[in-house]
Amino acid sequence: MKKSGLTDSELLLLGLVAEMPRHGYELELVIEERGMREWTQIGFSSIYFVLGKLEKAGLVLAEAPAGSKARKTYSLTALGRETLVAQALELLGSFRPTYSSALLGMVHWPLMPRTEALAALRNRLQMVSAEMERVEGIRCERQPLPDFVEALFDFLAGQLATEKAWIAQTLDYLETKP
Amino acid sequence: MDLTKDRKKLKELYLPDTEDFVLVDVPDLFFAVVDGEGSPEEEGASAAIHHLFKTIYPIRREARKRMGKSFVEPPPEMLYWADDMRDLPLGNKERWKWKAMVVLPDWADESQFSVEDGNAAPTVRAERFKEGLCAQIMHVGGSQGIPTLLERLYTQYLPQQSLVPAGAYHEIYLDDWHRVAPEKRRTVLRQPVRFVGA
Repeated sequence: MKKSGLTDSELLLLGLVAEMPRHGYELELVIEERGMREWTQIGFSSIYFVLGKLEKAGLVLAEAPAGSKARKTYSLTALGRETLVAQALELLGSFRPTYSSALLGMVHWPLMPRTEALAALRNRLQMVSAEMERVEGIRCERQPLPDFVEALFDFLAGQLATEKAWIAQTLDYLETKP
Repeated sequence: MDLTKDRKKLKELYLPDTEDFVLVDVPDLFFAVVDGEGSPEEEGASAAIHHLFKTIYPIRREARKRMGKSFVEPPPEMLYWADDMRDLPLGNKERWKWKAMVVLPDWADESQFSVEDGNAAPTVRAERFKEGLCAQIMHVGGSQGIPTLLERLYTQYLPQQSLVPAGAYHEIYLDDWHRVAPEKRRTVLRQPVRFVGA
């Protein structure tokens, strides 16, 4: 595979086409339904642009049935499947640490006025709690989900829970510190 | 019966062979159920299944926590019948009645259902029932392939075994139709039966 492979939106679209052949508009609906816009940059107009790129690269096949108003159906090619599987394996199998904005804020703790810094942490705690509720709400709304998607939500929920515990513990310590 | 503790039975009931119909004994199981009428292909049935799974979400969540790696995803199931049972093989779907169901763990009860704020939602209830002797087969493919199989069941397999239908026709959907192409979808087709004269 060449360079760093597919972009996030290319990978996602390829995955949706891999499930079953779909039209562009159908892809738009699925992206909306699964809330994929939350974690990828993919606009409505860019769907067709990305599909065009995938088609040119030989990863998807676009077929327009006869008829004046017929819409193109996109399906996965063998090369597309191979590329998708290779990249998904690569993403799942390698770990790249990501750093939270909390670290870049926290590292300047001595510079910030104490009350404001504590208030900022409390605010962060509230935001994390709200996010936990939101994610849980989405998870319930999308039931039933296949187990691998549940695992994905477990990951998100676990990260948020860890962050929440960290803030609570840190706040507790810093508030008590003489 | 808690099927997750008997993997052999679980496989026997939910992963039958695609080759031919087989007879199985379906034990007493515990379900969350929504009732409906009319063609299952219309919006009503898929809305019922979605509502059903939302309602049991707290139970599913608790089950995943309690059971860890031994948790098994319960698939959506549908029972179909009609006042005149001939409407079933004839495909007069507007006269069909159905139940959308999902298996619940034994410790669950209705007090653990999530509560919907809207009142338009259909009622979900917990129900225990036993299908007993059933003929079943795994169908892989779209729903257009099902009538041929059912014809084989009702006109060949059952008469050859001296069996007659005895209860609502049952389908179990093992794949998410939003994510799996029609030709790859697995559906268990199940028909409760009894021996002629029994």
